Amino acid sequence: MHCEIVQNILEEYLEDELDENFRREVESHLQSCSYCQRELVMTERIANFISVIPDPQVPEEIYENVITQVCASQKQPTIIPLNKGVALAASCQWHRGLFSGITDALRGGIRHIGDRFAMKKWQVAAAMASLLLLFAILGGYYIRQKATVPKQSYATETDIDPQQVAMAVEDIKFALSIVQAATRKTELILAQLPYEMGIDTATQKAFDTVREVDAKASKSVLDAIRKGLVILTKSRSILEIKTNKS
Amino acid sequence: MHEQFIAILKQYQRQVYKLAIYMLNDEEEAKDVTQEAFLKAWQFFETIRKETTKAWLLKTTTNLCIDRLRRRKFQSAWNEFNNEDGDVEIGNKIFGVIDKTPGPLEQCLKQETRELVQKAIAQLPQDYRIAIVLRDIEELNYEDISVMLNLPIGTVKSNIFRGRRMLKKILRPMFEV
Repeated sequence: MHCEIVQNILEEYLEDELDENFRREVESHLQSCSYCQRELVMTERIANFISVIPDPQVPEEIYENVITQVCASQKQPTIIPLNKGVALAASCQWHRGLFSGITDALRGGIRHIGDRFAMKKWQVAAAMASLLLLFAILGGYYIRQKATVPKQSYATETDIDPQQVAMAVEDIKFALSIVQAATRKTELILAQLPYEMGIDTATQKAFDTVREVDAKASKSVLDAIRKGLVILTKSRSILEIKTNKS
Repeated sequence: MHEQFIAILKQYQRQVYKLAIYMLNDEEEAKDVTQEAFLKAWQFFETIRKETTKAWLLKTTTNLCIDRLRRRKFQSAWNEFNNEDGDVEIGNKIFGVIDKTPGPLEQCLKQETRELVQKAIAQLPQDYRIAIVLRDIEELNYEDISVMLNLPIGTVKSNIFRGRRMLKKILRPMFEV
């Protein structure tokens, strides 16, 4: 067997891809040909070398960019990148506090009414749900009535420039979107934390992360809301007094 | 569902990026392709079955890389390789002045060496490059590669072995005493 033939099938030989007869012929040639033996060693070394080279370093921005673009897409879920670019996220603490405050108040109210009138929790909850339904029906009726009245633009009612109204609406929308982003960021933080960390450590870590952006973001949120309200109500002095009091 | 996607992103971004960088030999393009692959995975997330996520990602990445390569003009590099002495020229071009003192294999395990292999693989024709990267870099078996590329196993093996022979020519200066 010629060296040229053997050297052209060394890769197949190493992978055991040759049929039995051919393989025996190659081995027989290799036993007697030092040149082909060296070529076989070279082939093995290169194959082994390629199999042990280290993986490339993955650029960090890949993860962040994918998450950012997923968030920007129309589809669910709403997740946001964990990077400093989202430092605009407002204080989720405020948002969570408000939500948990409302639910605590509801639970407390149900418990109190149940104790006061010797009613079971589900009975109180059903009564409250019925009341809410009644308010919703009456509210819907009221809105329908209002809708029949010719609408004047807010700008005409208050003599405010329509452009200013539009800007004010945008400011408040911006503030609310920041709050929404903060909520999403907290969801992502919680999803990122390993379960073995323990719930107390995980809670503290999430809280610390939100608090880091709180100082920067809460002022911008408050400013945006305030600016919007000032334009809409045209009562800057009243708002300043109220702000100072709080 | 979003936790699952994040888990997939974390688990496979290294493999996807590795495939892309060896296929394209360009960090910026590899980053773009990696991001594109995961965004497509997000787009079709509900239809990708859990057990085929890795194969789906690698196949998508391979296709994206092929698209990119088609836009490039690498014919001149292939023509150069086809010259009689082209392989030696390319080998020397890649490695510069080669230190022929043999050393332990561990000395080669550096980032610069990985990049040299990356450049060597980039010199291969597209079909051989894909086969080498999927087999020797991503360590997929023949059957998975055959399914992924929609090629008969015989063709896959043929491309791998021919690719290795060409790679041996290019990398020879590094290993000859």
